[in-house]
Amino acid sequence: MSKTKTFFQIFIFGCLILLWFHSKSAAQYYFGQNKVQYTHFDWKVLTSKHFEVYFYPEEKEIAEVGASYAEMAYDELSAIFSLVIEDKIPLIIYSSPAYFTQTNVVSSLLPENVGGFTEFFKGRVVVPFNGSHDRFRRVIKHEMVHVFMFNKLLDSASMRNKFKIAPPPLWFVEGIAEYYSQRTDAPEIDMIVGDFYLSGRPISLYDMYYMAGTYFIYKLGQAFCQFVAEEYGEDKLILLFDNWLKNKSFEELLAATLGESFEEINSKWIYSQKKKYYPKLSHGDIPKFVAEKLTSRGFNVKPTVYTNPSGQTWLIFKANRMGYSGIYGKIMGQPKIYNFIKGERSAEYESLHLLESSISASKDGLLAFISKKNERDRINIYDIIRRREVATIDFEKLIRISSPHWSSDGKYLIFSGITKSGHGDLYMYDYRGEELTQLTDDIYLDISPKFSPDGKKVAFVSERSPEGRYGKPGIYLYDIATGRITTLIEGDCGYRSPSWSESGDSLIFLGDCEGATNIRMLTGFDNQQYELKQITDIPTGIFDPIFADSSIIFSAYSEGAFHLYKLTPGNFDQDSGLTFAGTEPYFSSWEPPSLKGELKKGVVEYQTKYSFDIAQSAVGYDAVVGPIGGLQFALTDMLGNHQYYFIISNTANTTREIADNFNVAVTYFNRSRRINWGVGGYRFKYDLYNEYDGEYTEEQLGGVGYITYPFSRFRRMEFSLYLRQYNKKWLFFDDELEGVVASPYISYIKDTSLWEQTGPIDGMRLNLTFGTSYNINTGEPYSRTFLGDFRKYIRISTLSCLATRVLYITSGGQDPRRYYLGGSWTLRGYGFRAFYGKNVFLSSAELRFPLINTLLIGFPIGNFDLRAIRGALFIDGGNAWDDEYDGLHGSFGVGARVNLGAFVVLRLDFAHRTDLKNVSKKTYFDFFFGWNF
Amino acid sequence: MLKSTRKPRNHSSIFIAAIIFSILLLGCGSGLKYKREGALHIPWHSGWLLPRYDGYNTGFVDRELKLPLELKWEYKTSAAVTANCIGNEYFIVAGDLTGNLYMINTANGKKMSKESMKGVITAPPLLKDSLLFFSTNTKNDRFGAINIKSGEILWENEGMDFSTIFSVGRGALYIGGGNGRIGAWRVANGSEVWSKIGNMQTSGGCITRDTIVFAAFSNGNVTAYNSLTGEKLWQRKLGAAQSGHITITDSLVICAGLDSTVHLLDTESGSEIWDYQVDGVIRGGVSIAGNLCYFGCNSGKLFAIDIENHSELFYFQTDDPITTSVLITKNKVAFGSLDGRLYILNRFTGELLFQYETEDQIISSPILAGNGIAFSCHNKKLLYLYPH
Repeated sequence: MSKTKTFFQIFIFGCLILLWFHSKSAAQYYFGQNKVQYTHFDWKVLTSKHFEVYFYPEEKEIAEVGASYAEMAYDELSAIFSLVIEDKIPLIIYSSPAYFTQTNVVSSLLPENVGGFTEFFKGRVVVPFNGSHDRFRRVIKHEMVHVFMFNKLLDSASMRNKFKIAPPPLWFVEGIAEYYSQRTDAPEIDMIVGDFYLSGRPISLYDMYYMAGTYFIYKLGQAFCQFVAEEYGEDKLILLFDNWLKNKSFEELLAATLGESFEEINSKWIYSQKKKYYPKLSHGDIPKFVAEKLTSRGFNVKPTVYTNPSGQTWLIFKANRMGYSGIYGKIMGQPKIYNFIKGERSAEYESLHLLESSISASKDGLLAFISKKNERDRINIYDIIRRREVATIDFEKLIRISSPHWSSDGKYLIFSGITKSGHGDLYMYDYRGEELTQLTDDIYLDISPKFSPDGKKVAFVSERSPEGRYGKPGIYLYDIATGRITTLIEGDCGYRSPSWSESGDSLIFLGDCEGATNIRMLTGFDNQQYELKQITDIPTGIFDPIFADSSIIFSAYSEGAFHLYKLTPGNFDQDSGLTFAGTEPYFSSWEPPSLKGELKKGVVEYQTKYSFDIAQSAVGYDAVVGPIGGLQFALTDMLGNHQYYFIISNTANTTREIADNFNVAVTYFNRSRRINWGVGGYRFKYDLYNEYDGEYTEEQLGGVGYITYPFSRFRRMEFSLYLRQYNKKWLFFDDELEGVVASPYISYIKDTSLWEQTGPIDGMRLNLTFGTSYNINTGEPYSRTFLGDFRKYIRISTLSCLATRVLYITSGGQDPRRYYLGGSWTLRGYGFRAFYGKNVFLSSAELRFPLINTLLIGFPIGNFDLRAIRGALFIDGGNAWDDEYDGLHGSFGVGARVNLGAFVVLRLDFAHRTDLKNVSKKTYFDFFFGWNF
Repeated sequence: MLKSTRKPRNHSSIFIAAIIFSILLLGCGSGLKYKREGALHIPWHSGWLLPRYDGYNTGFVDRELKLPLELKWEYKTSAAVTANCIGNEYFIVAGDLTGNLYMINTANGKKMSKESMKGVITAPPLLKDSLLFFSTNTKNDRFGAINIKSGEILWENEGMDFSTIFSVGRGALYIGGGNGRIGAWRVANGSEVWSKIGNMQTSGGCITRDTIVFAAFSNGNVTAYNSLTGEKLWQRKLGAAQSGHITITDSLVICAGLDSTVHLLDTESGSEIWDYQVDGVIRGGVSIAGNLCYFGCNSGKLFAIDIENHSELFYFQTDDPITTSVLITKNKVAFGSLDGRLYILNRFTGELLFQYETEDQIISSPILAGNGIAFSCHNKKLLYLYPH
């Protein structure tokens, strides 16, 4: 048997095994972060006319509301798309984003900013409720647009017996979903699209294709759909779907539907946005020209201030400066920025809710901020002066907490909390007495509470008005003594982020009457002679304004980033023409919808029913034996908690061997609880070759059990036990090893890595694995293996780092495992699998840096565009040996990597070999694929 | 001794029998129905079969429909049929979305012929005497005429996206395409009489009456051309793409579309006489009988409006959008909904007289073929319902 043939069989088989292992979950991967099922849910199913709604009892009310919103969206979209979806649509609802991130519907980790998703294999729509009915309704409708669009295209194709559809570009997919779900000028459009134009970066339709995967595409796409509706008519958005299959590309489709060439449409698009945003500068301003810019790098939001006993004023804020969120501070007037809290690298600060929750510093120098730990949020108290955390406060009934605010005497904290039922209310915590009091208790989301300086009132934002129900919240006052709520301001504009002046006679807040949010100031609380002024007119919007002495500090989005700015009193705009009606008693004004009549069908217990989830084949062709194939598919339940994986392949060399050479594996995984476990059975038989054993056949028939226990998102333990009938037969040695073999393995894995286009760039990864194999009849050990793989990435700048790795593997016993070293993934400059042995050592250091941002190559048939080409300077050293270590093999050189899209990263390395005494004259060249280590 | 003898054969009788048989064969030849694939063959006197009974797209048949109906047959097509069929008591012609033209025996639902046009058929065919006119889009975009006796394509012209209703009159075929080209072509040989470019897709189709051809476009324009010369007589801009096929009467042009509005225009001047807005886009066009208009919309409602009094007579609610046009008989209206039901109402009162539940959404407008109703469903079946 040739090495090539055997290698290819192993390669295909290895791919299948990799697919199998990869398919299990991130937890069963070599590294990887964990999706932890902290909470066990008792699922039920509510059936409505068009939906099956999956919920748990604590959120029953929200589930009915969600079903109502879904039915309303269905009716509207069915009329728009002229489409009926016959099968009931599965809608899975979680009552909190914290629960939503635990979903097993998809195996990948969900970033915090994902507001919901639609999974197209089983057509599942998964959405969280975060307390806001407006957001809930919009997210459900947004996902329903995806469902309808996907079904419309599929339906049109299937009616014509077509099985292939050209998918629309992602920016259009998300844009039209935003357009139909929002329907009004959202402040975020002005923020994103306006900023592109006002900062001198007019975005063309061609540019939008390169923005996949960013939030920009949502708002750019929405703005484009609005442009089409305004310029050509809203009916043209409907006509696009009528014409879909008549055109070969999206550009052709747009041209045929709108009656102009794509270039003309693009020109009109750019012109329309210029006309919309450029005039805003005739009365508005770019923030850096009217306010002092306090930060210069990263994403900076949620400021608070603290003045220490020596009179220095600290500006403390949340930021994402290098990929991780954190809390930072600086002394006003000084450039140095201190990193108080590093987020997203440990279980204590798994998330800092960068954009969702403000922070607050007390007069005593205690900073209150929210972080997610395990299942729930908690309040962290950090001593600014001593630079250390002094307390954590969490409440079992509150899953989500946001925007804590100290009373001016430092005795109380007020914040917004969401329970397991999904309702968001105000809570007050006595910091010294450790007592929690719920202040509001209703269905309306109440957020951003701020104590007045005298501690008697709380200003807060709420959706309780009729307009608030549809995305225009108001600001209300809560009287601590009486519990009465009065309306401060509500109406057709959305009002947010109140902040009191130190004296309590003024309140600043945000209003979005002009589109983007800008600051208003209401004065006269001391004498009830109220006056309302508009303070700023920033076309791209302002956020999180606070008083800082007589100045105002805020966050603003400009030139593609959020920065903090300080507005001094001389720059306050006095002219507003705004009227203020005065405070009024508040009366409850709306009820959420509920399912009525024939819409509601009933509630049943959730039953585990399996259906196909993925199916993929791995097929290869070997020049000697011909085609070799394998199939992997999975059956999962609707919630993804129970999974069966099947692998079938065949490694026969001749037709006579087919029956004997079937390899089959069946595994069941249970992911419904924190401990994920699995059991399986398999039969493998393959013919192999290596330099030590020569040719041999290995056959295994047995079972396996797995347990994974995640400590947090970043660390886990894995246990596996293989129990099998094992037979190894050497061809040339005429020897055989046979027995019932048990192989327990245990691993500890930690992963805090941050990735960019070609691989990790920050954090660390660690895998420690120990395992043994022994004959359970005789007790005879066959092998024992230890593996330690440690990788650390030391960040230098936004796109560069020093990556280091140390790998050590050792295997012993009667039948030890042997490992290869050499090639692009391990020891560069040497051939693939150049070294082989029971012991392996490898150490690498690599300087990674950006090389070329964009490379456009013109071909006769079109352009080829490469982005984000990265460079590397590396040094590797290692060896693989059996019993005698014969010295270190080293190499050093330069390389380049480029991500071609999806998961393919091309690598090119040039290296010189060295044994630390001599350096080879020859340059060795590796061209392969794969992520950076 | 007696001997039996065989009588000699009388060859002349065989000869006569053969002649008679041959005469019979020849005489019946034209009445035989060929089932050969690739050719459409129909009985000689087929008459004129128009998409919606008259050349003006009114959807009105001055006959009565007897109730109740029951399913007489169903026929499975290769792909879905969205264009309405044409038919009579002998045969029904339908085109599907992979370009197959079927001829089905009305009496028993058996396929008489099938011709593949290799394009998508979304416009209903049109039959006059021995010429079957067709159009296709998406690929092999063309329109042409088939000699139904021989199955031969008499002529065809290539172009772009012929997806909506067309009409024939005064020896010419009037059709518009997706690139805004509209024109007249001689029915005898397909040569161009005139053509114009300047609008967008003729999403509302073309209809001719006397010396005028009316067309409705996806940019909201409704235009009248001199059918002999192509000279533009008038043009009216409406709110949105006209998606339902245009209908004309003696004095009115009626169109409707994605602006959820029915527009009544004067045929002479194009001025708008009245418009009526509803709560859903109108996909199936408007049918008219006398002063009563009937149409369905995407809110699932079937509306009846009185164009003399400018008022709504009634509406009838179904469960899902109505995307097809309405068949009007003397006293009834029939229409299908995406809820899978065929509804028949009293056309003066809106009272539900009969409904038939199918297995899937109804996606083509019902037609009266003989005494029964034919229509197609989303599950690629042609159904024929016949009075019980």
